[in-house]
Amino acid sequence: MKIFILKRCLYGLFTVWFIATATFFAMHNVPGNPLNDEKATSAEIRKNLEARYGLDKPLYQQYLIFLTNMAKGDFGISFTQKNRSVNDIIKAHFPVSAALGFLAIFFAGVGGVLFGALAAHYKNRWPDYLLIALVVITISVPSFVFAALFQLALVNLNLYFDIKLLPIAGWGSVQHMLAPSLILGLGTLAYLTRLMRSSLLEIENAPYIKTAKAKGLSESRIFFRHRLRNAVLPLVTVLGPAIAAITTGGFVVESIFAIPGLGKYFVEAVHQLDYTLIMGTTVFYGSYLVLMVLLVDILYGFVDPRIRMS
Amino acid sequence: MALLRIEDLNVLFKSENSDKSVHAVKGLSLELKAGECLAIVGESGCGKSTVLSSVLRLLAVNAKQSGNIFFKNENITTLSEKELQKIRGKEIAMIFQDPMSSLNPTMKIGEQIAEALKDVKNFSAVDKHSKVIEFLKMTGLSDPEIRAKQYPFELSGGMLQRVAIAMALAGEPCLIMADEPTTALDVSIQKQVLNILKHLQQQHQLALLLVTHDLGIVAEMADSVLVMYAGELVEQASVEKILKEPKHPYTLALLASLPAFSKDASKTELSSIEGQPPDLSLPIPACAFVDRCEYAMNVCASRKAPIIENKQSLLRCWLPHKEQV
Amino acid sequence: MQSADSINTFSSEDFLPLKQVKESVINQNESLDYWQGSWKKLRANPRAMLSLIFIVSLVSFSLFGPLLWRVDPARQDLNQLSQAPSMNKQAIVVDTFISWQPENLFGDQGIKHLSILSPAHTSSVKLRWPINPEADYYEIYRHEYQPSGENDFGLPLAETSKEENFYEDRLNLEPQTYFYTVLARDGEGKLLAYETIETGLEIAVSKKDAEKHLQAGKWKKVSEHEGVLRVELSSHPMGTDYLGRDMMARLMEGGRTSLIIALIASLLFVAVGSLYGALAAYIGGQTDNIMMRFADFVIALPFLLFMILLKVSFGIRPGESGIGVMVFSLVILSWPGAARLIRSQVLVLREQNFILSARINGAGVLHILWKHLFPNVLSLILISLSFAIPSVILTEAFLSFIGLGVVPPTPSWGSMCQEGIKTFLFHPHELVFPSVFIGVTVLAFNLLGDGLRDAFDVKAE
Repeated sequence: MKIFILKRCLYGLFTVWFIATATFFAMHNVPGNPLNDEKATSAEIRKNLEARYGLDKPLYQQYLIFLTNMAKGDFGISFTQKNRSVNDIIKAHFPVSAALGFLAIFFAGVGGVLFGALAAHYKNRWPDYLLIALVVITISVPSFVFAALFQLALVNLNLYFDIKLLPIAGWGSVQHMLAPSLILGLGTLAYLTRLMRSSLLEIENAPYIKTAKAKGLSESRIFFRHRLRNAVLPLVTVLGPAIAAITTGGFVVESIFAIPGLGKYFVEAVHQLDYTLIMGTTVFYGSYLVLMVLLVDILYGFVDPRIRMS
Repeated sequence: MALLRIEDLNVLFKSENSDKSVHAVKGLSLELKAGECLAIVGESGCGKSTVLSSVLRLLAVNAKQSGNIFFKNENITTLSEKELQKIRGKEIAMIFQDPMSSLNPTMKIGEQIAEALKDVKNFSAVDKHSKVIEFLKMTGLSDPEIRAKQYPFELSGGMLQRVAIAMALAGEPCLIMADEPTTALDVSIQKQVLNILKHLQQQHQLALLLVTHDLGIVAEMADSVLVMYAGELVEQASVEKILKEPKHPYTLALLASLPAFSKDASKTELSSIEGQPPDLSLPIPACAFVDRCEYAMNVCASRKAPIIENKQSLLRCWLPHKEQV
Repeated sequence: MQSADSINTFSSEDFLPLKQVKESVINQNESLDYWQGSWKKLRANPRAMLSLIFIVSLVSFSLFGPLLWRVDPARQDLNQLSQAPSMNKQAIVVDTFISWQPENLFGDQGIKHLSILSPAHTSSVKLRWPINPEADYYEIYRHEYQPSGENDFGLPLAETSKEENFYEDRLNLEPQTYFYTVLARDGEGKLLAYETIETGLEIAVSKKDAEKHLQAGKWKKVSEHEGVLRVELSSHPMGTDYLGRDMMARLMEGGRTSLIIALIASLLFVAVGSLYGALAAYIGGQTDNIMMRFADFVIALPFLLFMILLKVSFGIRPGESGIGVMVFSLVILSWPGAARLIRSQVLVLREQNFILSARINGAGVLHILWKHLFPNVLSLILISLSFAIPSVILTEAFLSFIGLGVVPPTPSWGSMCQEGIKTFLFHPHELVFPSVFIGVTVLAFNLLGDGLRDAFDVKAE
């Protein structure tokens, strides 16, 4: 198990390096190289940039400086905002995105297992068909449409009951988090529902379920100890990509619901061509996602003995 | 008195996406006395495993079974699912073909055996553990303490089948049904597992219902043999009679395909049965074997032969074979 | 089951050896070749066929639609902004602003109830009401729904003095139904009485516009009655957007953008990935190992982040679409999926005899790849293509929605959604149409992919 974790960590580290390198060279590919363009920034920022990124030095040295800074956890300074470091921005806005993301994953996980189990239980009867239809619709329609529809529904509900059931947008309380995180997790929820259903149905005919039945176990024991447990395992494997999808999905949801998260900030940074901020947040996001995937991998090792031992 | 009696068992599998249905078992009857070993023999797909599964009502949802099954003189086809759970494992236990897939991959072996223990609710954790070890020891598995804490994928096929046997014993049943218990194992391991099974059967006075296509196993284990073809009984007799005086052309052909039983041991070429068993979803001629039978007569295609009982042997054929092997 | 026959019914014939045609029971299925069989299976799958038909009609809609629906997707119909879907909409032609002459309107003049001077249209609504002798001033309210009582009025549209018992509303009028309420209040602001009236508004167009369009033949004259001219406006079967552009024309044009991006990008990255995977598997050994490690790294790149990053990297500034760069980025970031899939298939094929014999006969690598491997992985390629297209469509929509993909004025379904959401609460059709197009297209390609997978009998990974 130790070797397994060590291997995964090393692989994760390599991936982060790859992401950082790709980011660095992508940014230096920008035509006219605004990082070295004297006109693009104010003199004060210019001075900071030069000191921080070694812009007067040759490319390979800039690359080394960049890597060293990243390794130290220093993601750079803003290109357009005076005296603002990327770390400050991340510190201020990332917790919001992370909270939203984790709640979304929670909704997706719980909902996926629950609805998947329901669909499998009612296999080929109307609740199953209904759930499958919903899943297919959810996967096919972009998330921002649901966000818009959800907001419309909230407006009307709030009007109808004449009370504020849930806030329509904004940030600050738990109520503010509910609607956006549900929307954010919706796609993953649908995907997990489908996966859970098929995985439960596949296991339904597994020989070891027949063995369990032949042992005289009760239906509930067979379901919870044998079927459900094994059916949930494949769900853990897709948790990594799901976290990535949810994190980047935050770009849309945060701007629709006016949530001051890092996603919204990243999109704004791109609109303002804040190159250094883009570079820093990309590497940060990339490392965060790699870390999440790593954690999921290790978690999977813990829940599935077959992975742990090999 | 028979421990298990099956009367006129029929099993029909409905296909999910067409109205075709497969008549897998047709009007099968059999009896098994306590402590006796009955082997059901036939090619794969002839319905022999289905018979075992239908005893404990373990067939897939698309299967429809009819007929009566008496266990200790009680008709267990009329029992509710709850009542049947008391019989499964505790009175009648089962061993499956592939030990690798028939054990839960994510559950420790000890836990899986403990689940099967008789009166498991009355045991403390320590008692449970010692019971599990006891049953594992019975099967001659080395280091049972370690094995109990391992997962199925850490053990070899032969070890796993011993685990499966221990699991079957754990419920202290009086009948074990074994569905091709050695097919998935290496030839060298097959023998060991069979010996354990035989030893335990004799030691615990267990009745054994053994499904196999391997006549070698039959010769070693069984007291009597039931030969099935296309879901039907074609011949049943004591093991000596079947091996020495097979009456049905199909039994004869099965024997001829085995090296040890081949008529002429000097012949290097083994005979095989030409053709394939019939598709059970299509209408079948009066005798299902007619297409592959060397001795087929006109009547075989037009009329079904009745089952004839003669000195505790059963036979369904218009032309019983006389020759001795 | 046959009943037990009596022995007497047997004849000696019965016991003669049977001579029969042996194959009667054996496999009767005719054997079809692989492609024919797969096509037959696909045809038997109603969902897949429906999807295929839909996809074909969608492509025709986008490609050939503009030939039939000759409306410029960029033209703004200022008389019909944010119109809901409608055909043959009529409008009333009004003179450019002529102020209402209220002099002769003061006083009672025998008016008994709140009334609206006909015709009421989007240029002006004229209200009159009886004088309330105790009133100090009047409040005029406009609602889109019938107000339920005194507490349901909200903010007034206007106030008039006690002498003015008339009002002309010219404020942001839309061709819809309004409820006007007039309140009479005394000096302390106490409510004395109120009255509500409902009215539907006609679209008003200016005389100048009408003359121009009538001449151009875009509008038709409907009636001229007591000096009031009514015309039929240009039709917008799917409505217009907030700038008055025809939604149907834009959906066609947007569909072309979205589908072209999706088709080209998918074709390219599936092709690149397949070639890469096939080469890796075919060469094998350490090269294969290194090649696939590299693919793993590319997969590990956070996809959407790098789509955005690459856009910036190639100097596409905010407000530029950069479709070429988008396709390029999609290819660069998406090929490893197809590469993995094809590689695993080629690894299996490589060991088979027909490949070995071709190698022994001295066939070149490319020859073997093209002649022997390609036909055998074509089914896999088709399947991955069918799943790649919807994912690209969704990616394009996502990026365009946050303003980092196709940006206005170029329409794509995604950018139309982005514009549509601004007016979504009041004019839902501007978001609903493009998102339905996206949804149904994605659904159709996915169902087709499922169908292909079943037809080719490939196990889902």
